[in-house]
Amino acid sequence: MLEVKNLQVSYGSIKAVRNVSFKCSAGEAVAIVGPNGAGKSSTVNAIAGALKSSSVQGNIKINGKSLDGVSAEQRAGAGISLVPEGHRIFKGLSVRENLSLGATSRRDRADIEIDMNRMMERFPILGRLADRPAGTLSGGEQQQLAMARALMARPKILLLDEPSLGLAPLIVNEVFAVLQELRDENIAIVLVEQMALRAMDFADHTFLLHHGVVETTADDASGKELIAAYFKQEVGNSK
Amino acid sequence: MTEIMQHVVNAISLGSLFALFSLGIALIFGVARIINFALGEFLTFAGYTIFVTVGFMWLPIFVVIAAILVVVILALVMERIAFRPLREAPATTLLIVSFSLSNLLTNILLTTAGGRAKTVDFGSQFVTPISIGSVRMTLLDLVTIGVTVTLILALSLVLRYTKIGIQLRAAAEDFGMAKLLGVRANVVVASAFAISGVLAAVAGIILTVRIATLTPSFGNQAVIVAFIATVIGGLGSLTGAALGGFFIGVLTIFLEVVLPSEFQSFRDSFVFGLILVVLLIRPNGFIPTPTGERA
Repeated sequence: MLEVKNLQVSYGSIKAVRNVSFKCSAGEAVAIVGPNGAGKSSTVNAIAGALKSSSVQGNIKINGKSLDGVSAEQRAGAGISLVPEGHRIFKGLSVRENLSLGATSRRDRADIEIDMNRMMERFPILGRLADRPAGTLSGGEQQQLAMARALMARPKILLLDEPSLGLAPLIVNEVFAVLQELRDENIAIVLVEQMALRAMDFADHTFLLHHGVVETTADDASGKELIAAYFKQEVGNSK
Repeated sequence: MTEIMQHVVNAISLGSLFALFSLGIALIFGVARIINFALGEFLTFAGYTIFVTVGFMWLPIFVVIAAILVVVILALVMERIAFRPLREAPATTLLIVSFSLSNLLTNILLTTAGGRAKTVDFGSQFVTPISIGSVRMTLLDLVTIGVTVTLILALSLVLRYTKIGIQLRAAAEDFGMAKLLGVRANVVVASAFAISGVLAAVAGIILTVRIATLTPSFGNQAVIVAFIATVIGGLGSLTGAALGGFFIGVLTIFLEVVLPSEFQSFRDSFVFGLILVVLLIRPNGFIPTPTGERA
């Protein structure tokens, strides 16, 4: 499904991501963990096409097709959806309008309406606030809207950048429950998370990014311990 | 009372015209972050299209349609050739491009149509004074107010209820995110230019009927008023732009009424002086937007 090979992201002379490679198949989840500034967001933004093409090097493929020279809007059409850091919902637009924008690249009008109703069942608060300006929603509600908007595209690959950031523990549980459902629906998930242990529990593959480089993976017990120890130390240092 | 009503009609009529100018600027800025100073030439081209076609078109409505078509095509060509290749360029580059285009178009008119003023005999029946009760006005005043209100309502409906309208509003708020959702940048920006072209063409037609004299610099003053109106309204806000346009119109007529006759020739200086005061009090305009604050 998604194959990333030797991905490099640079901002001028600063190299944010260096030689990152991974694969994510349908129904699989890959978690990218690491401290602030490690290059996690740059990695998912590069896959979504949110960065200038001149900043990105390496090879990103979907089902064997390279995304070289493919614009952000074409990538959305190809089945890539991003839930960005900070939600980036359209605050002046209603909840319903935000959801309809999620389906921009779809042509099946009748099914879009059905999906809109489904989203409002999956996230009942969005149904209740459908005609409200999205800017009036709370942080947790905005996060749910950002996820629902991404799902309106019926994505094959869902990229999530810190979906739990700033949310109450109860809402984080809801977010991960929805992610599990999406995995069961055969969507490939690439998850950027600061909550490393939670991410490792959820994902099939986890890797730790540090200064743009893959430090270690959690594919075996020792890798998991290393990541867990790394984050304990990070938490300790930040206290 | 009659006198007050008279001034109100004049103020709303002039304000409507200024609101049309400023909406064109605000729409393109909101979506593409371009302050398009070549908008003045949209007005001028509408005027010259009337000058050229008025002699052989059967009905005046065809002249109006021709003027709108020419300006919309000009707007779309401008977007495609000049602005699309530079979409990622810094705002200052885009500003310089818009000044260059403005100069280029003025010079094209200078070399093809000449620098001498042209008298345009179109819609003169609209400038004949009429009386409603004891208030005297021209039919053009009423048409200007009616057309502006209709266009603003139509624009609001398009922005609220159509797919392209919702995409335009989303792009104005966060173009990057809109593109990530599959909104096609080229379609959205071209639509903004086309709508801006329609608004400017209508403003140009009304101005041509009102002034009846054309020069290649016909739209220059209008574009400055439009730019100031969008800034005091709140750069990036369409409602603010319309408000800003009405504000300048009302202020102009107000000063025309209250200024002693020996100061009348300095009326515009007073208008711009008061605008400076407004900006000192509200530097981000009547309706501040995050976009405008960044700009």
